[in-house]
Amino acid sequence: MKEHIVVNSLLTLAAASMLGPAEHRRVEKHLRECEACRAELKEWTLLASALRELPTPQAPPRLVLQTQRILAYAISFQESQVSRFVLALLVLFSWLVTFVTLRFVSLLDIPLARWLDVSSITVWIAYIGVTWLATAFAVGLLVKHRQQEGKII
Amino acid sequence: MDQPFELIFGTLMTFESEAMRLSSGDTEVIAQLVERYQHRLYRYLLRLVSRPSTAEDLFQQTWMRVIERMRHYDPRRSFEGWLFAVAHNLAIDHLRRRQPESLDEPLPSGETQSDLTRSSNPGALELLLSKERASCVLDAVSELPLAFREVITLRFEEEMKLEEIATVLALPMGTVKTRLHRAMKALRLILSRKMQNGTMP
Repeated sequence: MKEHIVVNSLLTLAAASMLGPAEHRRVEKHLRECEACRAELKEWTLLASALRELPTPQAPPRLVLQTQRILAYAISFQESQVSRFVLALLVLFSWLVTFVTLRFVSLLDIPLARWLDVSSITVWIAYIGVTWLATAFAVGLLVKHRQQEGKII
Repeated sequence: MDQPFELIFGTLMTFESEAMRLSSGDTEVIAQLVERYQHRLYRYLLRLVSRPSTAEDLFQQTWMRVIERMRHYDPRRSFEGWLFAVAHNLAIDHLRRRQPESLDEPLPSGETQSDLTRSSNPGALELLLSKERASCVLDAVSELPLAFREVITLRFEEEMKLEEIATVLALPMGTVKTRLHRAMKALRLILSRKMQNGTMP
């Protein structure tokens, strides 16, 4: 009787094909000798098959298209954020290079080095100003290009 | 002869490479995934929240969340399980805000879950399901509490295995089994009651 109660409580899961191998063997063994459980399993199996055959509601096509567009925009926005970070790093790097090259070139015995007299504050300002303007111009162009891409999407 | 082999392993390889491309933020592969899972994800969300407009909102939110977290996605993990887990969390958050619901909440009829675990009249189900079963079963499923509806749809409609359901719901496998057992019992009771009340087609 105890076995009947235990197995009976497993019949729902048997119909759902969710039994482990040991439970499966136990149910199979009991079913061979219990007609009531066989009849009940038949009912649960019927219910399980009715659930498997439920009609699938279709996602509206406009929802899929809209989602794809939103995702494409979100990805490009994420990428543009990454690009801005990379650009900021590049600007910092270019400043560093500017500083290092100016010091290095000024130590060489060439006409350019003589012109780039680091002791002159005017040369310092001019050299840094030119590199700064060139970098800002390049960054501005890239950001504008990114924004236009975003609008198109 | 090699066709089944290629079919199985070719599909697996496609999924794996797609998962790799997903984690690198490939827009093309994301568009393909949205298309592939459109009906299944929508159905799952619709079963959970019942309202089509809410299911549509959650559908978009799910994919947005996928995009936000795709760089942290582990390609060795099942994409399907991950996707449905994201959808599950969003739907639960939404329902908690709108209509707090738990397993202990009484059903619309006033019965509690413990009432539902008792077996209903045996034999009635066969007669019941021999009629227009799709509409009556769907109607009965919609009357189940959220936790039961969800496990039913994951097992029978999404055809997920026990491990996958446990991953999506973040529950131990034993709890998933118990929940499914109780859900089926509850469903049978609702169907029997509908038949007795003459509300079945």
